[in-house]
Amino acid sequence: MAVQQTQVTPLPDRRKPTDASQVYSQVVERYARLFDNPGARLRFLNNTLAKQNLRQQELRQSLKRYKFLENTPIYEWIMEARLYSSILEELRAQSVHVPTHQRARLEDVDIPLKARVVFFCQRFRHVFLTAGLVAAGVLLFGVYSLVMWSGNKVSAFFANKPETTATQPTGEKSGEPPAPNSPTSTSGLLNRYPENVWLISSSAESEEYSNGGRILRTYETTNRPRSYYLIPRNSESGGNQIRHEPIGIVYHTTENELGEFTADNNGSIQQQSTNILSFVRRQRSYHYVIDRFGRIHRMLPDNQAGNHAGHSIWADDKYIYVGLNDSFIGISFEATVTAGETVKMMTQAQVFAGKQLTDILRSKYKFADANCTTHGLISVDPTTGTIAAHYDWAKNFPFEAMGLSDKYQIKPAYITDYGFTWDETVLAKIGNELWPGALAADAEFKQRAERAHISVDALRLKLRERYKEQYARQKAMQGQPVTLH
Amino acid sequence: MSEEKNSTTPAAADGSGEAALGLDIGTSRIVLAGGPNGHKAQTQLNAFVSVPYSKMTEAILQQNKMVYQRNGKEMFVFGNDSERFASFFNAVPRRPMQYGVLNAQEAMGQQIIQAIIESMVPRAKKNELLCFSVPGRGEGADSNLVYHESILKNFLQSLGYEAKAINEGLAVVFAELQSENFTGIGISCGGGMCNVSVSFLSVPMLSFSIPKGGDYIDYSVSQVTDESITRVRLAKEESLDLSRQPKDKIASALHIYYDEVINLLVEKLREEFEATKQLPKLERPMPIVLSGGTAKPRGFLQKFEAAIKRDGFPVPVSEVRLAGDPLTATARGCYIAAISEIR
Repeated sequence: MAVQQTQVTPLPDRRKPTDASQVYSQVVERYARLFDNPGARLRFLNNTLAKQNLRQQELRQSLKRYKFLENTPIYEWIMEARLYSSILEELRAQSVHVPTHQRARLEDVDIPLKARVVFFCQRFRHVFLTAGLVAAGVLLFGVYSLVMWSGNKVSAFFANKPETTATQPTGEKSGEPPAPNSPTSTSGLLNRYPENVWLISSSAESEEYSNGGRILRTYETTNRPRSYYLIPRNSESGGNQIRHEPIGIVYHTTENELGEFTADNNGSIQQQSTNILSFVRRQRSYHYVIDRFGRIHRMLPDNQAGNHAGHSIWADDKYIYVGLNDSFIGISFEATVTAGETVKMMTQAQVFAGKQLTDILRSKYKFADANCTTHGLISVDPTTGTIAAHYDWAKNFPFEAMGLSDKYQIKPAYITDYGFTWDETVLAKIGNELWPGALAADAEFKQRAERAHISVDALRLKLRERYKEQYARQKAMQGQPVTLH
Repeated sequence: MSEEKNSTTPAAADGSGEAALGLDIGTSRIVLAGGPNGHKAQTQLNAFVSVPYSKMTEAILQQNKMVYQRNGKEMFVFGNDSERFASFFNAVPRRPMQYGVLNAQEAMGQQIIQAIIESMVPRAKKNELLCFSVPGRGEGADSNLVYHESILKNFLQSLGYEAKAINEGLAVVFAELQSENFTGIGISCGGGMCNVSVSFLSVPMLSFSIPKGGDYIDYSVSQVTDESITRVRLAKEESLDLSRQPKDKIASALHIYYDEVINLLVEKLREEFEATKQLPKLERPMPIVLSGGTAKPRGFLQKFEAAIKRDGFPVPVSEVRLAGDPLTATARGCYIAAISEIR
């Protein structure tokens, strides 16, 4: 198959012919002259024109609803580019029939850049499609992640809303360094929020909730209304703002006698539950008790104080809570903590019910994750200046199973803000090993004393006195006598 | 049927060309084109003579190495030998085709035409392409065309070819108008009819035929001059010059009937151009190429040109020319079509 040795003549002047197809014909004709062999020339013409015709039909079909586009320059541009692309395809296809020394001429003809681009796109369309799909996937994933991140941020904002209404304290006594803003900070930690849970039915005997939670009211009794100070953090002030709604949850254990949790011991288990429920009712200690079968019993209304926390301290980013009976809801699991042993204390049913109840309360009162803690992490003995006076859940509380962040990683306020510490007795009770947050908090407290050029013991004493004052003030508001323990 | 054939070397059987063949199946001739560029052509008359079987006749045929077929009590001499045999026995050759298609009045027509083709076209090795010519639509030929095309296609496929029909006029365009990128008017003036195709960049825009050709002229002249068709044909092929005044009765009659055919052809062309809406806007004049045995006599081209100029023509014509080899142009065009189909 021979190829003519003439160059392709310049393209026709597009202004002269009135019909676009004439322009296309002229273009095809000029390239057809590259072929000297009549069969090859005929093949080139037939194939190129057939392709162009087909592509024109396809384009018309796809633009069926936008016929006006056919009269626009962009349509002509596309058609012309596709024509050149067809020519290129055909030239390349035919070049294999041409002697090697003449092949370069067919592959190296003068074709406009736009046509080469279209040809390139057509040739590598599968690669482009794959890359496009990957890019779209990445983009979608990015958008999804952004939406999720924004959603979490919005949830966090609403979760913290009650707290943000309060003013941020700034005052600091001279000579005493301000407590760092971070000891009990929950920033950067999980601030998960439960799904929306609502009450679906209520009776004198029980309440049922949308997450399957069922609260039994058989043992429900009354105590006194809640009332507590919001003590601004890092401030000398004891706080003037009084609040009557619960701010969080403290998890306890009942510490009653427990039999082996087996089927043949069923009667005994139930009897023990009945005994502890009756005891709790009389003492008005907890708001809820979850027995070993996972049944949730309400003991006190949520808007009333319970006798579950006594001498205790907890703090979130903005406020310190002292004597948590009035500010926190007490949930107690029917379980016992043996000194030095803190594992395997709950049944599966209790864990499940604990999560249900946590979600019900958090959904109802919008409790921040930061204010859901355990008795062992709040309880203090002001007479000895030690922590973990009550050591239930001082370790191994399944925060994650409750949908909460691990508070054992947080520096507790009773150490960072009040200088409470531990002794051998405390260590013996909790298995001779402190949780990471306590150790970090103690180190921070010592640095704080050093920065303030005051001995650690002197600072402890001073802050313990402050605690006592704040606790007495809290009790006085309720018209109750102050006891040290 | 016992048969005996002379051994011919088909054009593509020598392996010199590409694996494609072009076959012009005309009313009076069958032409095979193959080899490099399709220039290797082989021609056989599309005619036969039948004689009663006798041992002596068969011996004569064998002595003269003529191609024949015996069918019971009859013997058929066909192809180029039919003419020699006819003059030897003073017989008139018969035609398996009439007006461009299979002759329904010849019972043996189909078998004879197949025998002629078989004598020219070798069996395909691996589904090679073969393009064969068919006439265009025309007066009274439309329904026969389908039958004609199917019979030939099936037969060629039975020889192992991938057979494709090509309009005769278009084949002329393919053979002769390469330099115009296959844009122009191709006219094949054959024995049975004249075929016309108007092509734009190899795409047929208009194709038709008229049922008058060389046979019509021969027959008409024979009728009016009371001469045998063989003699008329001889006069036509040996001494006819349409550009000069006729010298005898036969020449005069030939002039008259040639004029009729040419005028009819040009008139039909005008009509078809005016009736069609398919033609693209032509930016340059179109060439006209004439081919076929009927176009061969001297002066035919001038007469045709004069007819075109006489009353004007619907499209501008750049030139009217005769095909390089009018007898093989259609076959060569078929060959080019076949080659273009090979990928």
